[in-house]
Amino acid sequence: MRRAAGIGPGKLRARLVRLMLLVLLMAACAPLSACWDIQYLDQLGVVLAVGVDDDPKGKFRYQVTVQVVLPRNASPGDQSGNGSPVMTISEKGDTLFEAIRKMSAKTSRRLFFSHMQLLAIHENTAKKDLYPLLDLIDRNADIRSDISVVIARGLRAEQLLEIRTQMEAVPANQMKEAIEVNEKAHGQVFSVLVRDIVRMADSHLKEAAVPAIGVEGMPEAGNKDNNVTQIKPDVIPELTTMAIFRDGELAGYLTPKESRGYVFLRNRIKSSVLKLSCPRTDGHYIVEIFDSDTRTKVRQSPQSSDTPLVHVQVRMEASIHELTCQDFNVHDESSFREVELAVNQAVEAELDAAIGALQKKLRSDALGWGREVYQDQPAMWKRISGNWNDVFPNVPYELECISRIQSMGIRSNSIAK
Amino acid sequence: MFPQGKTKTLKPKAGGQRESPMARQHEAQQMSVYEEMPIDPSLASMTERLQEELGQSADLIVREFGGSEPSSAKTIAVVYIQAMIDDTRLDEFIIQTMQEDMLSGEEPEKDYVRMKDKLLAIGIVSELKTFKDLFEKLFLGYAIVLMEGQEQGISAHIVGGASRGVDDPKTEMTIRGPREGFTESIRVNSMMVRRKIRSPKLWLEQHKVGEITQTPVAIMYIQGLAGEEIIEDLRDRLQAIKIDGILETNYIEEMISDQKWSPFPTIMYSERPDVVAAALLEGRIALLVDGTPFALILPVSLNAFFQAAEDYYQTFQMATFLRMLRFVSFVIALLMPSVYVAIIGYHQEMIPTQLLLKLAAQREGVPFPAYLEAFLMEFVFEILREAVLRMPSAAGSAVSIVGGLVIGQSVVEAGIVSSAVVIVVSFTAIASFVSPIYNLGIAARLLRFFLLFAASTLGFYGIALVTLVILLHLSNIRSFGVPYLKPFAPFYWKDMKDSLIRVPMWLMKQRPQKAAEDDNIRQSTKLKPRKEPSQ
Repeated sequence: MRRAAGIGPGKLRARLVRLMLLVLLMAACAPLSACWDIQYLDQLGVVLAVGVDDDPKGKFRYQVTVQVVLPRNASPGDQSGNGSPVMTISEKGDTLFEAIRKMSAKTSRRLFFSHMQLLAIHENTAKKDLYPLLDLIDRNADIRSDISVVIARGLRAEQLLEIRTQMEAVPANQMKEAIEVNEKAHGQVFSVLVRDIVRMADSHLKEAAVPAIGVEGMPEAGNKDNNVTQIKPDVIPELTTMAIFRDGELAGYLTPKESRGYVFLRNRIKSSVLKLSCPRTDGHYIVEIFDSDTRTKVRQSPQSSDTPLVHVQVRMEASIHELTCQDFNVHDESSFREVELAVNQAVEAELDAAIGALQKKLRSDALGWGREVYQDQPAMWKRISGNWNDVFPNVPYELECISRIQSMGIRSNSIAK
Repeated sequence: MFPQGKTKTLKPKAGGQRESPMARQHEAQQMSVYEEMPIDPSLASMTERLQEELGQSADLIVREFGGSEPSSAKTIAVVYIQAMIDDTRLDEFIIQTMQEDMLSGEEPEKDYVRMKDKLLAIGIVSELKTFKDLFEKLFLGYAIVLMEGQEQGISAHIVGGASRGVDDPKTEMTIRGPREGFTESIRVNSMMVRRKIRSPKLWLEQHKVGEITQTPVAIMYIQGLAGEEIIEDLRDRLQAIKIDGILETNYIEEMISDQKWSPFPTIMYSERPDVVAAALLEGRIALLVDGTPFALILPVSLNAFFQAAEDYYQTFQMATFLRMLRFVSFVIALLMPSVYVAIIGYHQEMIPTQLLLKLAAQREGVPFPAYLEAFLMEFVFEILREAVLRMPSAAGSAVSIVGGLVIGQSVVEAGIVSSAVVIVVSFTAIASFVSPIYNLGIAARLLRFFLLFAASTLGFYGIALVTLVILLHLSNIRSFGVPYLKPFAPFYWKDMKDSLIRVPMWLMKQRPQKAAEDDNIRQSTKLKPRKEPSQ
């Protein structure tokens, strides 16, 4: 109070008035902001998956289907309803955005794409062009670019998004997570995100590869209650293999073996299992590869200075998981070597098959060898990049597989006879 | 606690006086009248005068003594306020002496000296010259001895009367550590501090504040550790206080604090003698006020409000963990409802999809927008909190049942409010109670509403703006010249030992910076426990 007395009552009052004015001004600013972009959670239709097909009537370029989650049904809780956890809306348009905006005629909530998980593209649409579909996602600041991309193989993307799934209430989640589980445990496919493809497209040094999803069962039965109330569902989405693109257009699919070989070559194997035949008797044994590292190096081929020689080295840590061979002596050190050799051969065969398919059948550098050449032999790349598409199918390569068996499990010889 | 009636009658009067400086002057003159009024040598007129001044108050006791003859005049009077003195000591050491007829009665001067120096078997005895002295002692609970023909009185310290004993501190709990808390008596309180710091350097400086209440206020500090300028400044500010009454430390706190408008406290309080002692040892100053079990501690920085007494009574790892927990809780208490509203209203892309679906499912069918919901629940919670505090304790359980049931369950079940908001609000409430000094929790409580408002109109941008304003404010304020954000801004590396973390005791080598520059060594530098050399 001592200081207040020093100021004097007149000055104090002036200060108070100024303060009040400031408060008033600030209060007046609040309604001006008007919450212009406020959008409440319960007024949002959260889109988890988008499917793109050709317009069956051919009038427009695309038919777009969105899978909107219904939170009331999707998250189990006290207020959960009994209806379907998601719904789909389809609309046609020449671009993705056009179709999506047209959907506002059919929704009571604003569609919200920030939580999109999955982009499913029908194979026929993918055959035309992939890149135009991704521009919207990459350009828009509100949409994440970690969306998983899949190819709907053998059925329309619309149908794929209409399949009800049991394990995950939201079908988009089931598919996205299936890819991740497969990547971790089997290595036949790996998840490819929108931003990966966009990066590839930007660099022009690598072709895109995207996992494909088909179904087991008749697709039409997927959109029925039965599919979730029965123990054995009528329809279940099933991962197949990697789909390979050439210049942004779907070129074809790999076989399961080639597909895994491809995953090895891309160094995306986290763990996988190999079935190998017993060396001397009937029966098989299973080897699990739990750690793998692939390195690709490019040298100059001894034949010509314009031919690269690609050297691929795969190092694996593995262990035996199932053993049904009768005469297999687990205690013998030499049997380890034997198994390692067999593993090397099996993996080499898969790599060979994958490279063969990409070079001869699909003629697509989805391995990114162009990029390797560019990095390791920039001078050569300058000379050959112009007709890389013709060079690639004939690039010679060397494969080197090095595996190490770490354990035979916790029992000794097999009980199988 | 003072009865409600008393404060009520005092307040309007005080308010009225502040409006007119003339009335205040008049009042002050009346008070100083006693200063010029000497003790009347005539005993009869003196006692009569006393009773008149006190308006014949029933608790003013005047006991007179005279010769053995029925006709002999009264020569001695003992004056005291009933129930403010210790009856046993009055009877044994004063009344008995008077009754033994040990004064000659012929030489009044000799009798007076004999009475003062020989007969009164009391520790503290002093001479009174004016009515002002007399009243001062009388209302502190002294007995006043007046003698016929003397222009001085004698005061004898037999202060007594009912008072609350030393009890557990009610607001600052510890598991381990001293269990005594301050009482309402300033002498007991200063004694408790002195019992912890047995040093002649612990100085106690007593003032009287309050024109009418004449409340004893003591400045306590360790000479040499506390900054001289701060003591000087504090003394000035105390003397400048012209107020009718001081009933609690907050009367003084608001009068002397640097920041008149800040919601953040720049003076700390404590109920614990050990906390006060620790503060004194760090070179701070304590202010004790008679009539309240709280002592003020100054100067303090924001950091001090996160230090609990218990931090020093348990292992440093645990103390550090709890210290950080408190900082985090403060941020939660401040920000959580506004962050929730901002996310729900503007930034839905920021939360994991599963959580988003969960929250969306809860919000399904809720009739209010999220910010209104949060405002409502916060408001309801504040009402509940206040109700539980003010209710007679017998009715308290009814409030908590109704509050818990209505808010916790029915509101959610009826779908009026989403359960997420209830979770957010209750979590915020719990977090706000973590602050060891209740004061700071209050600041967070108020600012929360501003933040909520900003979040509901501008989202995270609004939160960032208001937080920035708060930070600017915090870095701008001072407590008795000490920057409020010390040791963070300005940054004192050496003081970090007792801020976000609490280092082991053997590492706290120096006293806090700027407390006393010249004598900064808290302890020997060779205290780190070592392995004994093996024999």
